[in-house]
This record gives sequence, structure tokens and C-alpha cells, in this order.
Amino acid sequence: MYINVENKKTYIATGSKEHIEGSMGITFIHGTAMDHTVWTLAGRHFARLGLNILAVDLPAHGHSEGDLIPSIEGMADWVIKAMDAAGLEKSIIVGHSMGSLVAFDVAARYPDRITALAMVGTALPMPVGDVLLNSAKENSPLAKDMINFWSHSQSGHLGGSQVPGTWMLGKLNRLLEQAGPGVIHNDLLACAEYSQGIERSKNVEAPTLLILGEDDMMTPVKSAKALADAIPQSRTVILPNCGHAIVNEAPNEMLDALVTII
Amino acid sequence: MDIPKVAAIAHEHHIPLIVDSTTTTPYLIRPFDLGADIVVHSATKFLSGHGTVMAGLIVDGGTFDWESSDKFPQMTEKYAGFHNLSFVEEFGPAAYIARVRNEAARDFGACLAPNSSFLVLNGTETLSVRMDKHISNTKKVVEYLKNHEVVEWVSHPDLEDHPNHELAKTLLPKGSTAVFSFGIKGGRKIGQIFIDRLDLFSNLANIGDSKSLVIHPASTTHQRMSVEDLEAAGISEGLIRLSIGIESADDLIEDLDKGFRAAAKAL
Repeated sequence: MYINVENKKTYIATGSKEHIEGSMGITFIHGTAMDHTVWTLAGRHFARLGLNILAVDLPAHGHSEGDLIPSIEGMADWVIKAMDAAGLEKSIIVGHSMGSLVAFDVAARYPDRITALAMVGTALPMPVGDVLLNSAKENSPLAKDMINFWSHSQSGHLGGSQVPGTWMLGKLNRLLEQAGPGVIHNDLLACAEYSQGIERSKNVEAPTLLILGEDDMMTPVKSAKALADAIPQSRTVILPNCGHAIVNEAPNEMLDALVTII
Repeated sequence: MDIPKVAAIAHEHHIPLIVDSTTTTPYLIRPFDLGADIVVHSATKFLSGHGTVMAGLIVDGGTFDWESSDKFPQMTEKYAGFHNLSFVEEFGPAAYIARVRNEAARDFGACLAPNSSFLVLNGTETLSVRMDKHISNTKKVVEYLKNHEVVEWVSHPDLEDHPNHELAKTLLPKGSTAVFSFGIKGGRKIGQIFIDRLDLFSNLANIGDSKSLVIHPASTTHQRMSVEDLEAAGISEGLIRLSIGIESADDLIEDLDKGFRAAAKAL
């Protein structure tokens, strides 16, 4: 469904359920150049448990209008506006990759709005190599290939998928292709330039869950350790045989972990 | 079929282009690269390659913009049968295949048996080697047939008089097909004599087997049809369909020669 955020038509997925007044909210933030469809399983699951789902398409992503937001902080401010527009006073917040930094920033700077935080496929800092950044800047297909290759584990590349009949790399590739010019570069640069994280960790009051892929090449497990140590109430779940695209490769295990934060 | 041209027309009218690529397989052509949105295969044929399994594939390229078309409410509107699920909203580029899986597989139980999956996967491992052999054998058989005195006509894109000869050269540079037809002189009766005399070619309605297959529709699959009805369906009484396998081309030609000698005697 569409809502209005800053006078822009903004798409939110609700797990095909109407929001219930007074129910707990759970906000999902997608990663670089993705959209709400990466949260379909989790969104539909929690909607049927009675939670109010807010799986957003960030501005200029997916179905949402608006201009690209060039910083993680800017995206976090926008998420708060989206929660306001959707009527969510408080919410659990879940983000993947770039979305995990946005979710973290929301939890750190708006602690009174967030009851729990889940960071999926995350690291802090989240550096991005020049080769990838430059390819993305030129809107080269190589950028999509690099993201797709590095996002999946070895077993993911061999073709297995928990969603029968779905080719994970193909789906991710189509999502990346659907992103408009400049979207990938904008998002990657926002990740690379987000440098305030560790200092803000102490401000995260909400119980926090880090869900990491054991074989993640984009945000390796070791790169999330400092973050896990710095957040006061954090817990880490490491998923075996899983790369960075946890939403693709291990949606069931991700959901099992997310259930523990409700 | 001129896939790029037909794809452009389909997309102009907000309709997805579905290509049946059974006889070409992904080895000879990649329809998605040419504009197709959905590709279907009978895996019973070249993909499994040995005529030992019944299976099929629907492959969604994830490229068609269902939302820009008002022709597919089953993709874009909320579906009460799935708790008000909108496939396009929830699955994005995987919307169509999600609907196929959820509706066709779940509701109708179309589930491939494990051994059938194994046979398809096992066959696919040798697809490139087999297709090269299918095509090279076919070239030799077509050359043999086009000059045979008992043959009235041969319809194969490799031949210059075929209406799609130039198109096939462009779209199918590695070869077009190992399944084609020719007309034998003498009509229905002679056609039957011809196929009955063959030993190496199996008289079967299947195609795409590693073994060569032959069928004479006028005396088998379409035997109940009148001459007029056959003609209306584009099937002459003397039409013989071949599916060229991966045996020795010389052996295949020798077998055909035997059939033609028997046919010639009866003419």
C-alpha cells in the first residue's frame, strides 16, 4: 500500500494485513538498491502474529517516489517520518546490510521509538571497495555482478534455494537491475561514509540482535564484533553456510532468530 | 520465430512473451537475451535427453512489468485465496513464478518425483555435447535427404528455401534444430512402408531423444483424419517427422536408405 511521507508517494508492505490499532509495530529496512520484497516471508509471518508491519521502500527505491537520500542519518530521519505517517509510535526495527545501519542509527538517535533492534548481515564500519564504488558510479553492470557474486555463499552459488523454484542470484540480479541509475552508488557510498556508528552504540537502549552469515564476504563476521561488543544489550546469531544475502539464502533461519526478539 | 520482433510487439501491448524453447534448448538459443519474458521447456525431450522421464519447466525471467498492464489482475490484485496476497507487491520480479509455484504446484500437486529430477539433472550435464552431435548429424541427414529421388521436399531452416533460413542463421548460429520433416513420394501408404522398414530409427511420437525417432502422422497419430483435414492442419499424407539422435550419422543414413529402397519398390 502507499502512504504519504514528506508529500511523496511511498510504498510500504504490510504483509497483506491491515494495521491493528495498538499493536506492536515492526519496521523493516532493505539493503542497497533492494526493496520491500526481501522481507516477504518475515513480514507475512509477523503480520499473522498480529504485528503491524512496515516494510518500506526507501525514497527512489522500489515503488517509492522521492529523491535518493545520500546518508545513513538522512535515511534514519526519513524512517522516523515513515513511522509517523504509518501511525507507529514504537516499533521493533529490522534492517539488512545498508538497512541494518539505518535501523541502528534510528535505534541510537531515537531510542524512545524503538523497542528492539535486529541487524542482519551487518558490520561497522561498512567499507566498500573502490572497484565496486567506481563501477556503481558509472552504472556499470559489473557493479551488479560484483554485489551478486559477493553476496552469496559458495552453496548459494551452487543453486540451492529455500524458496522452491527460485533462483536466488537471478532474483537479486533483477532487483539490482530494477534500481534506477545512481541508486547502487548512492547506497554504497552512504554505507562507506557512515562513520559515527561505534560512538553511537552506547545510545542503543533496545535489546539488539545481530544475525550474521558465516560465509559473508561483504560484511564478514569478524567485522561485526566491535559493534556487538559496543552495543550494551547485544546478542549475535551466526548462520552457517550463509553469505551476505541472508534474506535470500536463509530466510527461515533469519525468521527463527527474529522471532526471539519479539 | 523472430523473438526480438515479436517481443517488441508483445511489450508494446503490455503482454509478456512466452517462448517454448524445447527443441532449441538453452544451448542453441537464450530467449531471455532476445526479449522473452517466460521460457518453457519439455524436459522430456533434449534436456533429459534419453526419453526416460516426463517433466517440464517454466522459467520466469523476472523482467515483465505486470503492474504496467491492466490485463493481469491475477498478478496485481489482492487474491483472497492466499490471504489477500498480491503477487506483484510481495514477490516483485519473482511474482509470476511465485504464483505458478503457489497455485499450480500447491493446489494441483504437480510435484516432480525425485528420480525424475535426477534423470533431468543427469541428462542436462551432457546437454552441450549431445546438442552438438544432434546438430552435426542433422546437417548430414538433411544433405542426404534433399537430393533423394523418393523425397518430395525437406523442411529445415538450414536449407536456403526455408522461409526462416536467414532468421535461423542470425538467432541460432550454433544450429537450429534436430527435429524437422520431409515429404515422401507416394503419400500415406508409402510413408507407412518407409517407417515400418526402419530399424535404427524408433517409431515414436517423442522428440529430443539421444536415439533417432521417426513418425509418420498420416498412418499413426493422425490416421483418423481425412486428406482434407490433414492438409488443413498442415500435414501432408507423405509427411515424415524425424528427430535426429546422436548415433553415427552414417548408420542413420544407411537406415533411411533401407526405408527408401522399400518405399521405392512399392511406388
